[in-house]
Amino acid sequence: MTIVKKIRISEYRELIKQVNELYNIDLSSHTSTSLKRRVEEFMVLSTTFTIGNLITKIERSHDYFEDFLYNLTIPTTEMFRDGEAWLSLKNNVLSKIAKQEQIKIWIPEASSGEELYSLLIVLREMDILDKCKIVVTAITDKNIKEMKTGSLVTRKLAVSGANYQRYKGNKNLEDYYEQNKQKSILNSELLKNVEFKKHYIYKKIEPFDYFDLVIFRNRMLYYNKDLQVKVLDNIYNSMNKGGYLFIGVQESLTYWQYNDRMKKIIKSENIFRKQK
Amino acid sequence: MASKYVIIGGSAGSFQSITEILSELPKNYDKSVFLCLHRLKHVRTGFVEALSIKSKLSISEPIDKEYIKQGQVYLAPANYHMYFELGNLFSLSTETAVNHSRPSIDLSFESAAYLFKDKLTAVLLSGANRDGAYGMKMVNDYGGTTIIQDPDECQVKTMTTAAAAVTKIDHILKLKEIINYLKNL
Repeated sequence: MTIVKKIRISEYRELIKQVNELYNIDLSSHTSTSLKRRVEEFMVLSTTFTIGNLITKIERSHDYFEDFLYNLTIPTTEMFRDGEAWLSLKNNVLSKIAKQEQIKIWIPEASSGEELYSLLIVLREMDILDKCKIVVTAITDKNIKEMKTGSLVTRKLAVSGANYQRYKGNKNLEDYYEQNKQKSILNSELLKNVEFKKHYIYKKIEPFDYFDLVIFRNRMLYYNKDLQVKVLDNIYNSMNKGGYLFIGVQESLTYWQYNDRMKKIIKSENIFRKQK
Repeated sequence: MASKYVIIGGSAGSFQSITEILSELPKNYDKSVFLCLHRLKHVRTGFVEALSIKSKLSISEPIDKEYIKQGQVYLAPANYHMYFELGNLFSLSTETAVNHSRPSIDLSFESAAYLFKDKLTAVLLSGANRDGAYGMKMVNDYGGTTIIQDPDECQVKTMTTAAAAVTKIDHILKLKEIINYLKNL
């Protein structure tokens, strides 16, 4: 638990203000409970005991700021999280778009590789990985560097294996990676059609491409409603008509949705299809 | 200050107590009740149904950024931490498990304490680890009311005993007394 002295609201406000002024990144629209925890954890990690000190370090070094941002990104935890949801994605979405000549998939604001690696394994087992173009965007180079290497935290693999069984995968999850004590490495062959880009999704952006499927699970949790609307607009504008959006099981499009722009395609899972 | 919010944490051995509490709270109970219970992380359905059998109040697992309503019981969803935000909203998180738990009682209690302050009543029941001890301390720090089930009555007394060792507990009560206390809030 936190050993940093409780930080006052005024101090958080000052931090948010400085980050915005220095690097043009607005953290005020992120959910405050998790943001505060991430800031406090980062302070402990970097032995910075006051907000004033943190701001000074952020101001002095862009690398330090990247580390700070990297630590704000919440690791999405296990592979095949909600195995039945992945199975539903395979049966109700991927099987349908499998016939296309090329399939374009986007994973926005990825913080760690688990969603990507799960997707790659699903596509490989369906024998369609070769015609997929997968774009993964992240807000720091450090996130990208980790994902590019296919690195997995070994400690989490047992749970991932159980999730994979629930997804009803063809093999054993261990067949896809090389296991070491701390970090394990995904078979690099799986990553060959993946493009990584540094990309900041919180501002209105021009689409850099148009996608058939967007995987965006448990990222919106860390946004307040206004930011959710901005980001979902960006995602919606970057989807082909008829494209699919896969979000977390306890997330919702209700606040963003109007005119049924997206229709839920199956009752039991949060998978939506762009209508127009 | 009148309590508007009740948060209950429990783990091993708490299920019976929870269902008994829920069966006794009246249909017109006007507090918001939050349940933070250790549960199997991959089991998404069935728990709400099991708790609902004897409950007079409606139970649901909150969606992220859903509004907190009065007279509703909310169960922390499997594999998410459950937080509370300004504007009377839930927020969920997939941050690392704390005390091997996600949902973590500590994190929910801390978030509730910070937001609801002296309008919060926090109850800790039977459980086999220390999750909730730090959370109870936070409830105290922010002016809420802390209640533990009498450790002698708990099926597993680790959780309640740990809380009592870490912070002052306002009331140590048997289950029947907890129920009365909550009914009279």
